[in-house]
Amino acid sequence: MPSTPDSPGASPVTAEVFALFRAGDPAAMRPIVAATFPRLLGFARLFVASREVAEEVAQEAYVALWQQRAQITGAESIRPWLFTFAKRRAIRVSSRRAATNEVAFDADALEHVAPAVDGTQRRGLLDAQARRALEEAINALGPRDRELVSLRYFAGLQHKELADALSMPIGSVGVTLGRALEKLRQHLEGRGLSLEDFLP
Amino acid sequence: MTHDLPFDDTADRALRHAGDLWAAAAGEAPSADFLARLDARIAEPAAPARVLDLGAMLRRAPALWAAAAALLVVAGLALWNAGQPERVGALAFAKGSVEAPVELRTGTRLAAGADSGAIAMLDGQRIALTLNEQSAVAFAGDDRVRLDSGEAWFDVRPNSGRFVVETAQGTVTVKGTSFGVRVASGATEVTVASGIVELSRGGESVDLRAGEAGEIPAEGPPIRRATGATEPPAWARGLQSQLVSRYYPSGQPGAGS
Repeated sequence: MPSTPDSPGASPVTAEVFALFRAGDPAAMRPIVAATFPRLLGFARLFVASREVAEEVAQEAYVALWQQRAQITGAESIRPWLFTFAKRRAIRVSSRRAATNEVAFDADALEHVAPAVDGTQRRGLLDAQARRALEEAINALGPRDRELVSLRYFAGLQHKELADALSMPIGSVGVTLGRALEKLRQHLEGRGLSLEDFLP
Repeated sequence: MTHDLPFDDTADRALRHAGDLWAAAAGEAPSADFLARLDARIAEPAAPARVLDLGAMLRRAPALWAAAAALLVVAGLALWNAGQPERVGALAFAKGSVEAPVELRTGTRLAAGADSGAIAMLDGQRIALTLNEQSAVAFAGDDRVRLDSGEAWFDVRPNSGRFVVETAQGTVTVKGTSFGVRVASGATEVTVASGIVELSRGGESVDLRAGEAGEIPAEGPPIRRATGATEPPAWARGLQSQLVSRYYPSGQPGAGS
């Protein structure tokens, strides 16, 4: 059964856990994995075509995080580091998307999600047409905007983490995101759809 | 303080909900197996890259081709690796005794000798590639192989994108299909059991559907013939059922094609 994904605002790592992590105590990895696994797996799944490969990508990311822990300067750097690594690794193992670096919402990733019986509920990602339109809209963005959108909404990174992951000034994150959202809106409207279709 | 909300609050909320749904669907708490493997790798930082535990994947997944990845490799097959790092899949099953695990990478060639056969699983595309003796295949990626000689049977999962088989005569392009390709006497013959397959050479192409067969001859454009098969040939079925009986002691997994 899917569990609630970690809240985008939650810091995965306390100062104590981070101290253990930097000191080389493997016990520190458990809380890090527990706090990031659902989002990391889902994020990897945007770029690879099977859950098995997404799990391998997540596993590689955690191992690499552990092996390169000397490079991690603070608890707040862990998530940006993990997702940046996962993206690069996912693209490497999935040659189908390697050239274009695009996302895909594979229907089979959603097969265990049961839509509400009430037919009036907006179905968003569960509706094939809406899902395909959102996928196209995201892939029609420039690579940087696409990365920003996928890290914010699918990796669940906050503004500071986005600035870290993309090496951009924190002040420009909101503005850039706003412009990207406008483009997504326009693209969907051109298909007779709306971002409101994805509201809960 | 930086204003934490972008310009379009509703759009932001809608996409956050989409992201939450995606994470809830695609993500779960890590399995005990995942954590155990991670613990092992963290405990041994000097260990070489781990071979995918295909046996565990097989026991978890229901469908034949998706679960066919198992611990691998076989006598009677010659396999040599071009040394390039991109992994494209793994050898899932072969006739004969098991020698060592094998990962398939871009540039890997796989050739079967007399009295042998194998099934390879390509990552990402969920393609099962069944080879018998006299087949020689080279992997150009997880969505492209080259068949130099002999025959191979392909089961390509629907919605897994485009998959291409190249031969000396031309290309065979598919999306979600079961089909066979045979290279012999300077021609490529194709038989389709399900789905649609496109044969092409130069600017000419022909589509084949279930029950049809066709050819890219030594010279001239690809052509369609009327007769064909609606299921894999006996040799491919035999290898696939051996795989099933070995790894599904309780019975058949989901439909194989």
